[in-house]
Amino acid sequence: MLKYRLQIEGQTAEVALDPEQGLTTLDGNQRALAWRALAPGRLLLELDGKQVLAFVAPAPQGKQVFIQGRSYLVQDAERAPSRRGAGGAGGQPGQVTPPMPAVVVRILVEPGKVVEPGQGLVVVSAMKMETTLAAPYAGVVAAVNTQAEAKVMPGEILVEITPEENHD
Amino acid sequence: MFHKVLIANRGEIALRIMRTCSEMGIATVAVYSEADAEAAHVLQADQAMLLGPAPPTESYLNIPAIIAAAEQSGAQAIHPGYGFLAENPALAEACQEAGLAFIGPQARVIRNLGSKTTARGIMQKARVPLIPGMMAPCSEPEEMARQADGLGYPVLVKAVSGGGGKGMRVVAGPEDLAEACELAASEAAQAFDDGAIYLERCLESPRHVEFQILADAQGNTVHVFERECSIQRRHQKIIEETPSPALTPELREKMGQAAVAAAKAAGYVNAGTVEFLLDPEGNFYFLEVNTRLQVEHPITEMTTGLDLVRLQLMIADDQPLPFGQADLSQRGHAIQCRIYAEDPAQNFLPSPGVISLLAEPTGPGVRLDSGVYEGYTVPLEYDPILGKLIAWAPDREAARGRMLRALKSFAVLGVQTNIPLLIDVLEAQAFIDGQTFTDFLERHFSGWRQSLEQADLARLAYVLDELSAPAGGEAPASDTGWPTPWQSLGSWRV
Repeated sequence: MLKYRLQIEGQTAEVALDPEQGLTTLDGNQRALAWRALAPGRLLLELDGKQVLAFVAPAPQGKQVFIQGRSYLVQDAERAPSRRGAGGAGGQPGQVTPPMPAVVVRILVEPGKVVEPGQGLVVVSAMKMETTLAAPYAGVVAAVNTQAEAKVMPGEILVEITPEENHD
Repeated sequence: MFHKVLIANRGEIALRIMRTCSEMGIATVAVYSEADAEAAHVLQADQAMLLGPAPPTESYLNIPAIIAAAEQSGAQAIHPGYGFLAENPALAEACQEAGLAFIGPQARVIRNLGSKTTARGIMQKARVPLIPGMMAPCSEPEEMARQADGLGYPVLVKAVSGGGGKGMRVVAGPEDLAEACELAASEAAQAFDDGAIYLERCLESPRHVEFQILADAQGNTVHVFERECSIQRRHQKIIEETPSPALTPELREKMGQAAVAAAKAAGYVNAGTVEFLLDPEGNFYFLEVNTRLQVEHPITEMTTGLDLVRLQLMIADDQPLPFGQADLSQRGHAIQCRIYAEDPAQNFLPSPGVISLLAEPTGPGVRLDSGVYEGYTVPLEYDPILGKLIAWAPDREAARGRMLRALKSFAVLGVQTNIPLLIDVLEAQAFIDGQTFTDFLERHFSGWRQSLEQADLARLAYVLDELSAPAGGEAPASDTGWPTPWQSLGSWRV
């Protein structure tokens, strides 16, 4: 029995597969399963006798899956990094990274600058829309890893912040 | 007829124009920026001319470069598409000076209709009903306050040279007027190089209904019925349909005649669109004229059987319209959805990137004006429209069902798209009932999140995709499609 724990939009659920028996357990229910890979990324699933076409493509942090008009980023909960923007298991604290491929418009801070949570750090632009990346918490800017007009990708750390010490 | 036409645009509209040119035996010249070297419109054209670096001012808005490209390639005419220079009188003028035909109205007409107050003046003389408001711009706060009191609040501050919702502000009461005027004026000055503003009465819950018009150089002007464009986000339309569920045959006749009168009053030649606002009581008011082929023109084509680009080329070639108003009729219902590379769950954040998989919908009554292909990198420098999906059927319900079927089979991976939101909008009761007012998305879909109805199947597909591509690179050959456990990879537990 193969088991995966997979996360979609923050919700993790288990998928179990028994290839020998042609069975899968989804959402606690056991269903009959057969399938074919028609072409790379194109799968034909047959679940309890009903056919469904699924399209799958690799994505930076998992796979993007399209079924019947719905498109999801599916991540392996065993190895998925934290959801973008939040700290937590797998994510490095102080990461400031663009949400989409973009161009740096303006850098608002320099190393040594003390910042408050929510303070603007870098302004990036993509498709005529400007977005300001903000400090996730209070601290001191440790490094600025980019410059104006640089093309940047999600995952690239543009500004590193050392969190300020907690005073109890 | 022209032997060669240069299309001064990119993406899906450049491709669409090129298709008609090819059908008419006209050679096509594409222009492109450095970011678009592998764009579909460049690959499709008979000839492609590089304009310059990616920024629009250095490429698609670069009039001297475009004229030079036309002269170098031997093009005889320039089609501006929509957006970019389509409504910039300077391009029309530059064409005239260079001895090139401009596929659109004259520069003087573009200029007049590009000023909202000048356009209102023209329409007032032609007795086309206007939105109550000022007929000239004003920057005097006291005068503005007086005008606003006369119109009654809420009042709308608008930029004279504006468009796309920029330089526009709704003002609820007199205390907010001065600041709204200042902000609107500075936004307008920045966006349109003209900070002139004026006031209109703010209509409540209007429908946005526009009429396609065609006018030849011989003075024949017709309307080609209406389009309803009420589902918008950030002042950009995302769903359009024809016929409008709100129009009776009588209202259609009246508005159509007003649209023709408006076109004639402006001295219009070629294709254009007269926009009206329709209030819940059935009163309509002139809004503006768009002096170009519009993004949503396919729905008019699907219901009338016309090729509007072909007619544009014929008119520019001084041919008369091959029909009169009485010859035109609409059949069935058409809906268009604009497909954008953006994430509707993240406030429509643009989503540039590589399209790793593209499975396009097809079937009777389904038309896709696409600007992309599988493997294409959607650039981050331009508008994120991937294409337009149009569905035609004998009636609205059937067209809605057909569009849903098409959307659900339209797989785009590698970038986020608004397809899941479009599906939800088309399935909403308010849409089924034809309750499509300009605030539709705010009213029914703010804070939208994608439905997780397929999440379990998606998890299953993830696993099966892992199993079907073992480290060796080849899919398993067994009849049942089941790999042996030692062929699978990924983090599985037994």
